[in-house]
Amino acid sequence: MKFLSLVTALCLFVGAAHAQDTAQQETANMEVETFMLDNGLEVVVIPQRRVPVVTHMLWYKVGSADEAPGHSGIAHLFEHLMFKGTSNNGPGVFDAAVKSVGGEQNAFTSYDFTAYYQQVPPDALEDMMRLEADRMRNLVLTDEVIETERQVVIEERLMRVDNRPSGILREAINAALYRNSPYGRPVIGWMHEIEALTREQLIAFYDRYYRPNNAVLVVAGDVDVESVRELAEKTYGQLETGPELPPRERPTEPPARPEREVRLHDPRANLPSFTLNWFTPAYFSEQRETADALLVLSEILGGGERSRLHQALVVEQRIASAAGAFMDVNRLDYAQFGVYAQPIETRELDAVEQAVNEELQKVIENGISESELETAKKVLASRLIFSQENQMSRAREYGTMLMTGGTVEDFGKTRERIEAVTVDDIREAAQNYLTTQRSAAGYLLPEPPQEEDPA
Amino acid sequence: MKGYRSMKLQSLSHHAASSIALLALALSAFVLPAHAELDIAEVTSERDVTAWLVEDPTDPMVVISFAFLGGTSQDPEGKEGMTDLMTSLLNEGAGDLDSSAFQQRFYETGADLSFRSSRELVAGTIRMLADETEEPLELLKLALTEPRFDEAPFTREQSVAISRVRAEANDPDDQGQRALMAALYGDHPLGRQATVESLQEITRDDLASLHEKTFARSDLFIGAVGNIDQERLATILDEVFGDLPAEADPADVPPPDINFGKKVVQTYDRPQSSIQMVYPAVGAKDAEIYTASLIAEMLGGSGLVSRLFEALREERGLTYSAGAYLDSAPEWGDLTVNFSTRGDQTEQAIDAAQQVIEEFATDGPSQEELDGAKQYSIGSYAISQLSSTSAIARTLVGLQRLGRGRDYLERRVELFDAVTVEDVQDLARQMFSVEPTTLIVGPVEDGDQ
Repeated sequence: MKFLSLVTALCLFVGAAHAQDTAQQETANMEVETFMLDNGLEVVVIPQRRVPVVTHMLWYKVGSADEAPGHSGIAHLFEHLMFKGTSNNGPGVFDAAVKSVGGEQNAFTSYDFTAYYQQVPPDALEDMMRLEADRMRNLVLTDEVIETERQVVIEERLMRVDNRPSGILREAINAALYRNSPYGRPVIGWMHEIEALTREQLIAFYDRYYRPNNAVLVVAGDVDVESVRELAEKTYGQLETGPELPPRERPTEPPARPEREVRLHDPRANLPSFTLNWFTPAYFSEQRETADALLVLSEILGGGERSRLHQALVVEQRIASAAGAFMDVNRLDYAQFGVYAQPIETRELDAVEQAVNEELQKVIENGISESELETAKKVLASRLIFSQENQMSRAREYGTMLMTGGTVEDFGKTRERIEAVTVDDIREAAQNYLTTQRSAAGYLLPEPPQEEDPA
Repeated sequence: MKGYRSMKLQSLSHHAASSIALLALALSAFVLPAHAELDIAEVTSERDVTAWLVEDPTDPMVVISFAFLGGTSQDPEGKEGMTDLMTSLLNEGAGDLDSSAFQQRFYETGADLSFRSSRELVAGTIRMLADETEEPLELLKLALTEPRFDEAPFTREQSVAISRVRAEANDPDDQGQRALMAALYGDHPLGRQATVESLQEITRDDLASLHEKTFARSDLFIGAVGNIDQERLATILDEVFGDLPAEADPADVPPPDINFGKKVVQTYDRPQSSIQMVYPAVGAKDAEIYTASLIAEMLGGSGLVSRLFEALREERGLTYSAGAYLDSAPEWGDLTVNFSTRGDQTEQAIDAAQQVIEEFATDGPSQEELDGAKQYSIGSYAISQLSSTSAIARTLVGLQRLGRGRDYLERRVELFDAVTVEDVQDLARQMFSVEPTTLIVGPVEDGDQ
C-alpha cells in the first residue's frame, strides 16, 4: 500500500509544517505578513528570495464537505471548470500566459478547501493576479463546456478510484468510518451524482462560494509585501464583496458501538493488506492538545524505520513487508489517524493484525518512554525546517491553516505545540480516541482460493 | 489530493525497473538548464574529490546529493534486483554499528538520509541542519565506506523484496509494465526484471562485491547546497568520500537495441484502459536533445497546453491525462505518449492520438508554437529544477553526470534558441516514421485493436 506511506509523509509535513525554532523564525519566517482588502479578501505574503520564482495561490473556503446532499463532486467538477475561460479571457488565455513565462499552474480540491496556484517568474505576478481575479466572477459556463469536462472528471474518477482496488477500498473505508460527517463522501464525488450535476447547480455554487470574502490569497517567493499589496488592490481589490456566508457547521459523528470493517476481495491483490483508521479531534479544534499528542504518536508508532510498528512487525517478527502510521490534520472537523501493514505472506494476515493491535494496546496501557518522546520531538522539529525549503510547501502550509480553522495567530506555533506534548498526553489521547468506536478497519484480500472439484 | 488537475501522474510509470526516478527525471525530461542565476562554485579537496557548490548563508540547512555510476542496469543475468537490494541495505549497519545501532544513532540526529538506485546510478541525499552536520556525516561516511550487509538485515530485506514482487504478481499495470520493458529491451539488462527466483539467487557476497565495484571516487558526482562554505565543504569531501577506492569497476553495459513495432496487451476487466506508445528519441548527450525535448513539449508537455492534451481532453473529453515525455539516458532515449480512457473508447482514443502525432510529423509545428515551447523550456528551469535546496543539489549532480559544465545554465538558452522549425520537422519525421511499441492495459482483447 504505497499510497499510505506517501500520505504519512505528506500529512506529517503539511500538518506539522508551520514551526521553526526561534533562530529559524528570524531567518526564514520573520517577514510573513497578512492584511485584508476592503472586500474581505485575506492576503498572506511569505517572502523567500533564493530563486526568481513566485508562488501565487488563491484558496476558497469550500470543499466537498460543504456540498449539499446529492451533489457530491460539485466542488471538484467546479475546480475543473475554472480553467475554461471567462468573458474577458477566452479558453486557453490563462494557460498560455502561464506557459509563455515557463510557469506551471494547477489546482486541487479537498474536503474543506479548493485552491488554484501558479508558479511563475516575479514579473508575471500581476498577470496571474489579474487572470485569477477575473475568473473568480466572470467564468463562462456553457452546456458544452460542462459536458466535456464532466467526461474528463469521470475519466479521472475511473483512473483514481474505480480502476484500482486500493481506490475502491479507501472510498469504502471512509464511508464506513464517517456515518454522518460529510468526510464519508469521496472528494471526487459518487459517479451517479457527478453524472447528475446540472448547470444551474454549478452556477449557484459559483455565485455562493467564489467571492473575495470567502477566499485567501497566499503569495510566496521572490516578492515584497508592499508590491503584493499594491497589485492585490489593483486586481482582486476591484471585485465586489459577496453575501456573508453562514458558519461552516457540518453534521458530526454520533457515538458508535458496532465494530466497523470493510473487506474487498480482488484478484489483483496477490497479497493482503490491512489498515485501521480513526477520526480524532481536528488540529485547530478546542482539543488541540489531543491532536498534538496524536501527531507525535504517529511518528513514534509508525513514522519510519525506527518506529514501533516497523520494528515489531518488519524487523523483529518479520511478518510484514511494511508497517506504519499516518495522520491527516488538514481538515476542519476531524483529523484522521491511521495505521497500516502489509503481511509478508498471505498466511500472516492474522498475525499482522494481532501484532498491530498489540502495539496499539501497549501505547494505550503503558504509554511511551520519555526518550522516545524527546527523539520524536527533535525529528519533527528538523522536519519542520526541512519542509520550508520549498516555497510551494510553505504556501500550502499557510493556506491550509487558514482553511481548516487556524488563524494568523497560529502561524509559527507548531513547534511550540509539539514541544508541549507530554507522555501523559499521548497515553490519554490514545486511550480516549484510538478506540474501536471511532474506527473502521479495511482489508484488501486476494480472491478466496477456488474450491477443488471433489470429483 | 483528490482533485489534482495534473497530467503528470503517470509520467514516470515507464521507469518501473528503477526504485526511484528522481535522478532519472533530472536527466531526462528537463535535462535543459536555465537562465536562472545560480552561482555555482567547483570545490576540489586535498584528496581530489570534486563537488559543485551553491552557497546560501541564509539557508538553515545543508543538503549534499551524490551519485555513483552503476544502477540497476548493472544487475547480472539471473540476479536481477541486486542493485536495489544493495541500496536498501546501505543504512542497515556499517563499521562497528549493527543495523539497529546505526539507524537509531542516525535517527536521533534529526537529519535525513535516503539512498536510491535508478537505471544508471546509485544515488543518495543527506539533509541536515546547518549547525548539526558532524554526526550525520560521520554516519554517512560509514554507510558509504563500510556497509556490513549483515545476515539478519540481508535476509529480511531479501524477503521483503520477494514479497513485493509477489504482491504485484496479479496487478495488470505492473505486469503490463514488465511486459513492455521486455518487449522494448529484449535481452538487454533493461528488459529483465527482478523475480522471486532472481532475488533468491543473490548472496551477501554479491552485495559486498557490487558495493566495492560501484562506490569509488572515479565515478562519483557530488552537489552541495545551503549554509556551507567552500573550505568546510572541502574538509567534508575528504572526510566522507576521501577513503573510497580511487577507481570504480562497473560492468560495461552497451545501450539497448530497442524493439519498436511491438504490441503488448494486458487484458483485465476494469472500467478504464491505460495506453503507452513508445517511439525512438535521442540520448541526453546527443546534440538533438533540445529538439527532441521541444517535440515532447509541443506534443504532450508539462503545462496544460499541448497537442495531445488539447485533442484528447479539451476537445473530446476522452481522458483525464494525456502526455508525452522523453526518457533519455546519456547515450540513447525514447519518447512515450501515454493516456487512459474508458474501455469502450480505447480504439477511438488511440486513433485520435495517432492522428495528432501524424499531423505533427507531417506538417511540423508553426513558428509560433515552437517559440512558445522554447519560451516555456527556457523559463521553466528555475521552477522545475531549482525549487528547493534539495532540488538544486540533485540538479548539480545531474549536470555533472552529463558533463555539462558550470556555464551550461547560460548556454542552454542559446541551445534552445538555435532550434528551427526545420530541425523539429526532420527529427519528428525520423522519430514518428517508426511504428511505436504499444502497451494497452484494460478491458480489451489482444486483436481488438
